[in-house]
Amino acid sequence: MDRLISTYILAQNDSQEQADAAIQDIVKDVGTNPTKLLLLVRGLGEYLTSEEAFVRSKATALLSTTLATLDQSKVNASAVNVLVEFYCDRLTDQACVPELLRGLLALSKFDKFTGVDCVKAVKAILALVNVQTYQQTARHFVFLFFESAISRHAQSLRSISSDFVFGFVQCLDGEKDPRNLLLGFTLIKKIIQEFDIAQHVEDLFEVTFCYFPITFRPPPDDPYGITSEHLKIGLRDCLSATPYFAKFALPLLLEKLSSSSGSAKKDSMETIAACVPVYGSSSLLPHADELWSGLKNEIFHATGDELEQVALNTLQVITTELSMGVSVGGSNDPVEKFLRPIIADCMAQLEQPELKLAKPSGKILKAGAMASDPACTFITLTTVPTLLSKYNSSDQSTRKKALLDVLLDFFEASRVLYGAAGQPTEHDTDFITPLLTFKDRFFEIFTNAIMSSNEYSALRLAGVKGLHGMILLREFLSQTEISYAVQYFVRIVLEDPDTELQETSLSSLASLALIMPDVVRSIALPAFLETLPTSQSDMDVDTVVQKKSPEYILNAITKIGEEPSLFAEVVPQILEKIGLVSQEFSSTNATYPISLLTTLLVLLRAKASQGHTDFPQYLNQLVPHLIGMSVLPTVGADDADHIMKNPEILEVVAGITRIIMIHVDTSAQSEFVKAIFNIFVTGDISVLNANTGAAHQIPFTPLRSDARTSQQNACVLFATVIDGCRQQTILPVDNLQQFTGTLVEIAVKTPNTMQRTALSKTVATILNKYNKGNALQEFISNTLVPELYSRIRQEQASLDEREAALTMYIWITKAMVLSTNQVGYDMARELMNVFSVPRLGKIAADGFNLVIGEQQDVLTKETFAIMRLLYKQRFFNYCIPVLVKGFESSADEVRHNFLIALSHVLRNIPKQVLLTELPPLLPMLVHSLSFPDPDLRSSTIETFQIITKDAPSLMAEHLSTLTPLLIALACTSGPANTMKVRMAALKCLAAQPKSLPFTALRPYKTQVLKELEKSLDDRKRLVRREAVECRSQWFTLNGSIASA
Amino acid sequence: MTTLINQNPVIYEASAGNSTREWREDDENEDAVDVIDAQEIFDLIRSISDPEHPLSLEQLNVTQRDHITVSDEDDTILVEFTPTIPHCSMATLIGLCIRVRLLRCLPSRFKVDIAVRKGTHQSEHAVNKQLNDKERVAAALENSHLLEVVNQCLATATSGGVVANIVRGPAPAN
Repeated sequence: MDRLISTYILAQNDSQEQADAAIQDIVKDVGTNPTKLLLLVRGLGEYLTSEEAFVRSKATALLSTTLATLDQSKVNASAVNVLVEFYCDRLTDQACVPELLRGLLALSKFDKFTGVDCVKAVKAILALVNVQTYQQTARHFVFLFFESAISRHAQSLRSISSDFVFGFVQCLDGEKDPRNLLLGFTLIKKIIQEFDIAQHVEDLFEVTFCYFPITFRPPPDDPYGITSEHLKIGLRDCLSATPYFAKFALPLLLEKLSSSSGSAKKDSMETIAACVPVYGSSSLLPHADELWSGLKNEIFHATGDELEQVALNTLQVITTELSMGVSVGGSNDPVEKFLRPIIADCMAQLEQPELKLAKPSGKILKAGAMASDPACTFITLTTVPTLLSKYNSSDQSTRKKALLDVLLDFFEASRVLYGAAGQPTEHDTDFITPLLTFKDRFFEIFTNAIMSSNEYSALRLAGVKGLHGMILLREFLSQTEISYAVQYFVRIVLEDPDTELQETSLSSLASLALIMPDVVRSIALPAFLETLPTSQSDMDVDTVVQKKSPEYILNAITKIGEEPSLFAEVVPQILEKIGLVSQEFSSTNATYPISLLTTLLVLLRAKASQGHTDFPQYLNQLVPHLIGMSVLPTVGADDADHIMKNPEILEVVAGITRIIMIHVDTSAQSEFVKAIFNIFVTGDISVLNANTGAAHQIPFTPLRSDARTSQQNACVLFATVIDGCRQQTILPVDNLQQFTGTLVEIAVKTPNTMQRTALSKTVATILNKYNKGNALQEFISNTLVPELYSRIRQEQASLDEREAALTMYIWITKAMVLSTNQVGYDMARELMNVFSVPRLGKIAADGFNLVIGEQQDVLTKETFAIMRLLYKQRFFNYCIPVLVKGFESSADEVRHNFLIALSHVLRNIPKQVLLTELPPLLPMLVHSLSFPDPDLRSSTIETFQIITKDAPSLMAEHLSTLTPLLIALACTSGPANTMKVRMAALKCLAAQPKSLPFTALRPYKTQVLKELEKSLDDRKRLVRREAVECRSQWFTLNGSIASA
Repeated sequence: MTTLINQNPVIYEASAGNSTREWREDDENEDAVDVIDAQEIFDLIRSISDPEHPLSLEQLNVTQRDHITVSDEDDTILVEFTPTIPHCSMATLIGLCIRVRLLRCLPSRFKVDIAVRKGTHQSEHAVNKQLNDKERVAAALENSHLLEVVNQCLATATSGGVVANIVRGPAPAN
């Protein structure tokens, strides 16, 4: 032990490692066996009393470090006591104070550190240590020690309460370090809570408030992460900790409110808001006028929305506080006293409500009315009658509208204060909004506003908002009145020509649908559905001219029909419409039937995103019904034209099936899949027949390459169901390999691309989801893939069949890449070999988009595909070198395909990966701009835009090559420079001034501005708009005007 | 706080940054030519900020679409604006902002005239003369302080007006 001690003490700077090793050994030794502590102290004896301050401090450090690390449970009470005594006595030794404080801090955490010890230590520190003369770490120890002391021994410290508080104030006085201040602020709050501060309020306040307002700005590379917001909140917590501060704080805070700095004002207001509930109404009252005039200035002459909002919020908090405990009415009522001048000021502004200051006045009244029941009652009763009579006497519609806007503020205040309709309320139901007195008048003027034949639509808009606002108030309008209001909304939606009015009414109905579905179901929904045409003649232009288009009505239905009970009402009605329509419409005129079905799809999607759980019932009713409607027309004796044979209709039906399918559980899925196999594989459609009673004439064989086209198209539905399956859902087939093989065969043979795509998707899904434990691995890699590949390369086969094989191949590649199956990478490499085959090469290159891009419908997370983590990165890492090599070793006409594939991969790769891998690829990318392929160009330019934003330095290096290219692409139109390319180029140029340093761009400024003048005269308006935007960015690049 | 020339101006409804232009099929047709019209000019200048208030020229009714005359064939444009009050000393500055905005955003083939709407300003003639004198505009922009003010007013104008979407029935299935 002694040896270790002396190694440590005598270690010089150059043998610091040795010292560290020694200290660790000692700590370990003593740590496991605290009885050795005595040995250590004894061993240190001579050093602790050394002549040299340095040695004493070092010895103390050793002891303190040991204390901080050892297992304190083994140190007995008397040892602690002795140590505390020892440490306190030595505090006179200035050189050792920092280390001593550290030791005391360690001791204070010991279980056996008693209240008596604590008082002793605190007294010693306060008496012997002049805290502010020490460095930051030492001061930090003091505050940490106090923190520990207060949290553990507040009871004992109370005996020296007064001395402690006073001493603490002195310790903190002059503190400047943000870390210590943050700690200091929490201590002040604790002290205020724990101790009697009555005698030291002013001291404590002064030492606290001197930091207000916080102007601290952390250094740019601040390792401690303390922001000025932390300090502000810490300080605010102190100031709002005790009502004793009120008489000191309020005048000073008010003074700061008139400061010119925005952040100081905001801080003052927020601090006032925080303090008000603590200080109480009696201390606020004397300052009421000043508070109002300060806040008034902030609201009427607000420099920004944020400050205005803070001021309003503060006003509300003050009003709430003043309303507390008020029971006697009359002129002495504090809240009324406070509000009276406010109301007077606001009403003065509202004399001319169409002017700018009317709006903030409305907001002020709203903030006041939101504060409390008495405030709301007072404000309402004083102002509403005046506002109403002003409304009656004015004939200017702008003025009327402005007045209604103020009333809208009242409705909102009331809703916040007294609760909203249709929602569980935590508000006191004894209180009822004072607006109730004026209900009839309100209803009258707002409906009149809606009805006004005035040209000024803003007034009518206010009318709609007003009715909506009233409906939302708890226990305000009666059922009859609500019905009336809803009827007004419906009429506007159906008849009014003004789009803004329509939209507002519709969104009112949409929000009502969620809280009062009954009234929407009984009034709005029937009215909408009734307007929908049911026959071809209804669609004729003459009759439609008066009414809204069916698309418009259906769009309205999608907004209100989401709620389960409403949706249940919508479904049969829409199905009925489709039933009627399908008799009459031909498949070439499918827009309306498509919209009808799309309505259901949109609603189902909305329901899914809301987490509704009523999907299973629709899997058993809606889906079979739709499938029946789609399948039955295909088995008639003659293959006559029928609306349900339209491919687009089938896609929508598939969409509906998918979204329902993926929202039911495995067992429901398994059952449904069984039924579907029965229909599509076995061809037994008796189930569907039962619904309609129609007899079928020819067999249903959709899975044959020689079936009727209409039957083949129905494969889309089959594919959807399989794709929606969960991984655990059982497919009712005995031999999955054989089944998959058959599907592949049909897909390659069929001339029908719709069937082919559907089956390709099915195969891809099966191979992705059901290759568990590599059950299908051998089949895939040894049979399926090689066979397909040889078919693609078979030069004597027809090009159609080779293309079909290629399509299937690409889909399987995708399935494999998603599950990071090695086969997938090999397949991707083989795809590149196809690049050189005429006609197929381009398809293969575009196939990369399918392989790595996100699909909307199949093989997605939502449809339970197996998608391994980082599959995109792994594909990227595999592909890029191969692509680059292929590019370099290919002939010019094939290179094009490599660039296309590359651009697909780059577009779909996560940004972080892209940026790290990009530099070597840039020459290739620049190269692709010279190929006359608009899609390739625009997608490459988009990549450049990403680089500009996220890797500006990389972009800066290539400006000399790129800028002229981009300018050329932006300015010249041609078959290869479509508007999409021109816009992309302009957007890319516009992104530069925002991201790149001025010095890098400066050489190009004149050129860019000059050349882009041509784009200002582009024949396409959308391009001109981008050119304007781009030039604005470049003009402001350094604030001077180059060509003006 | 400095006193504003017009402390409490009337505010008009603005279409929230959206152009009132409706979307047409032809907008995306490569071969159709879109001529520059009054609406386009209006979209360029409507969201310029007023030098005094944090409001746009449209909200203050300083600019209106109906007060813009464009002839794409003759390469001429006339923009008339209405100061909020007849003695508004900001009129020249507002005019200058419109001038600079159009200088930057229109092809140089256009001859742009900017004028105070007849009878809406005390020194209408002087303001007009100043705004349409090339030399004086150029001289004004040499003043870096003035330029900064102009750029500040134009900072909000970069959106250029977004085309409002027309209602096209429920979104198509994918």
